[in-house]
Amino acid sequence: MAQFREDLAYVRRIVEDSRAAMRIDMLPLLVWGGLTVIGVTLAYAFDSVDSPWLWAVLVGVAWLYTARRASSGRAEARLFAHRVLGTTWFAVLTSMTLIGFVGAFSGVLPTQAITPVLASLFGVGYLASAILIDRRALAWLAASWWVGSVALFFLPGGLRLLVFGLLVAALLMVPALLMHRGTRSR
Amino acid sequence: MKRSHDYRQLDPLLVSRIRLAVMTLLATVARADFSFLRDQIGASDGNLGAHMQRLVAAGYVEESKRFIERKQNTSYRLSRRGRSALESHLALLRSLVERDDSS
Repeated sequence: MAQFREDLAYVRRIVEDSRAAMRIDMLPLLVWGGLTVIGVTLAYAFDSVDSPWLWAVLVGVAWLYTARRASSGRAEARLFAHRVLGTTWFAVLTSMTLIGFVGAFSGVLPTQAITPVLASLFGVGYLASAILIDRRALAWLAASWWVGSVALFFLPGGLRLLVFGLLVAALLMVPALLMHRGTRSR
Repeated sequence: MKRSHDYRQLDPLLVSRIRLAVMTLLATVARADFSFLRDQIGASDGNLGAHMQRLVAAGYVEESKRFIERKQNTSYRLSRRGRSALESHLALLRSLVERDDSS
């Protein structure tokens, strides 16, 4: 009977330990954030490179990296929740690309509305992540993105892109970097 | 008469600690690499490989092989049959322990 008890305790321990050992691949989000910051910096440093083509190249590079990362199957094991998480972020980034490019090029969306809308979509991604991986800190990040979105709606045009870049650095890159380092040191 | 608490009903494939560990790990994930299972369980490549072959042969685990950056990658997922076997095994273990507690 002692053997059966040990087996059940062993099973419980494995379930707890395996959940703790799961890794979340933060590198694609870091790349997206990094390229956005580069785009904002270039746009402010050189007026001549502030064009939709700059963003088309940067977003294209980000998508290529994301696709390559996904096809390489880096994750050693995935919880079902992580698969849903990946799909959620894929949906968020697809929506952002559509709004940023199709919306702007078609002229249906005014360009000044794009960064506030993108910020609000980041809020959606972070809130879904908070629920799926049970991290309350991410819900605060979602709230911060929404507050930032409201602020971006009211900011003057020249400042809007700069503040969006700062939001990306503070609310996307820093948390993603911390989570990436956390999973590596485990 | 079939006894609901008969230890002989325990699945002989799952009496092994390594195979029980593998099945439990696979029950918590959608899919897992061989290296993930090996690192989590602490088994050697050869030992784990032999146990995986038995689980695949029994239809408890589904295996898929592919190449990632020119290296072969083997991953596993629990089959429906495997999940059912694991659930039955754990339920029987629990009932045996509960019966022992109440006696």
